[in-house]
Amino acid sequence: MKKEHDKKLTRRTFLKTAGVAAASLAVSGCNGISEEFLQSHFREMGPDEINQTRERLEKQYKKKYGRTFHLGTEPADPGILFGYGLDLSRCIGCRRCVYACVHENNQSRMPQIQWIRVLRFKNGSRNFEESDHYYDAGMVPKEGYYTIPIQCQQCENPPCVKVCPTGATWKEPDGIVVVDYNWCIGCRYCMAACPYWARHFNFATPHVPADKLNTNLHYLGNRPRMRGVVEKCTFCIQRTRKGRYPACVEVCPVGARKFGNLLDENSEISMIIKTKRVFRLKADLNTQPKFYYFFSL
Amino acid sequence: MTKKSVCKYTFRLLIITALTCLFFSGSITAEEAKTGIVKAGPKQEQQLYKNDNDTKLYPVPPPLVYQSLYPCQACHRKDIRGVNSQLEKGNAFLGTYIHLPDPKPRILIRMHRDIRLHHAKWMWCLNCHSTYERNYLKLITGERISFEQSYRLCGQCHGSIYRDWKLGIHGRRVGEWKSDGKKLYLLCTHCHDPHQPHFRKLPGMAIPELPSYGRWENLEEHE
Repeated sequence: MKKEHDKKLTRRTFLKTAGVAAASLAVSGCNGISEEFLQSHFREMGPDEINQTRERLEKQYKKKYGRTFHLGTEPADPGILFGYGLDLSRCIGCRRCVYACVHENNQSRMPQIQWIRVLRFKNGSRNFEESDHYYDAGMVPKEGYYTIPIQCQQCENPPCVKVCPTGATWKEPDGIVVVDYNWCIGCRYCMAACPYWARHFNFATPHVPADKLNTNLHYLGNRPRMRGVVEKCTFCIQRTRKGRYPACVEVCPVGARKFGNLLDENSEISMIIKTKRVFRLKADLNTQPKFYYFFSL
Repeated sequence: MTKKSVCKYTFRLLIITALTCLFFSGSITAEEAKTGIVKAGPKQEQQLYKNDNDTKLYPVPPPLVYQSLYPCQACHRKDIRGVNSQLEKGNAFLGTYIHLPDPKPRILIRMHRDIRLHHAKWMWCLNCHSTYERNYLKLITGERISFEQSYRLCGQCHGSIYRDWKLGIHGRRVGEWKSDGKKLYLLCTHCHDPHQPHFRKLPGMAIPELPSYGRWENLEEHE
């Protein structure tokens, strides 16, 4: 009896079959599964491997969605540290930034994921626990309320990066905290560590209609995500690395959103820090956000 | 005073001078050190607004008026014989109603009735629009400017906002984020109606969905 059982599946036979299966998978290379499986961490890839990965993913997306995509892998330029300004005396809470972000960054429509959250407070209240982001906007601005949009604050000392067990998330030299979705194991430690509620988890396979996808992609930004990975705001890395403003900045109807290089003295964000009253959310946590809220009135 | 105490005082004085020198060394320029006059206020602040000249032009998208009523001189034609000719009121010329502009402030009854003026109380059309060449605006100095430079006109009264607009703090820009990058500066009139500049209410967008715990299984079947 015992012998028979051993015949069925001994440790040795299991390892053999598993090894053969893995090897055959690696050799056959069907659907790029093996390549994806053997893919290096983005920061360890050489230029050739980055190119291969880019081509493979572009092909894969074309097959899946039937459209031509451009997957960028632009590295950070030296001498740049991105900073963001948000004018709280202008924000009216219309949520146009939320939906511009959803469209630009291919966020899942079902189940819904939104990187920007607009918190509404009663005038006089400064309690985040009593703020509401499920408010019915109606016609804005609404008397008696004010709004504070929150999103990833791109901390200079990011707690989410510290807790990641696989190194799937890190801070780029230009200050953007990014995620390599292929290395994210979905443990959600980063979500627990983030004090700004900025990270979002794909509990289900993200669903975006093929015709609504933005075809201008970046490997570390808005490329289509899979189930079980964490995603976050990247200051529209696919736009800003090419010199353009983030989508939320361009869409804001009241011009409350500002963006620029903190290391450039003449940039908009530097001018704001020099001339306006500025504060950062939860500065006492020493996360050192590069997201500055200010009052222009 | 003993010799010892003199030494002590000189030593203290030296330390104080050294400390003061250290304290100011960061903010004193060579010129200031030479003349001995330190300008009031931090140097940074002085430099911040130094380029406050009105002559610099900014790249702007086409003004909204270009899509609607422009060119104004299609109706407000300049008299071909010159502005000063004694053309009678109501004289018809090529089907266009030509008359000399009436510079008296009044409520317009026949034309432009859709324009409601809710700006400053004392204002009316010809405070901003050029009297004789309607395709242009005019500054308080009498300088004629095009609609693309309307920010100069608004800046005459709204100085602090104009200053912020030039620095990129007020208003909107589209294009490249670099301070020397290609970008378009949206005009005041792209967001504010110049005739009633106060912002009107906007319709807000949809409420985010509440988290859909437990509905994902059905979703997967859908796909």
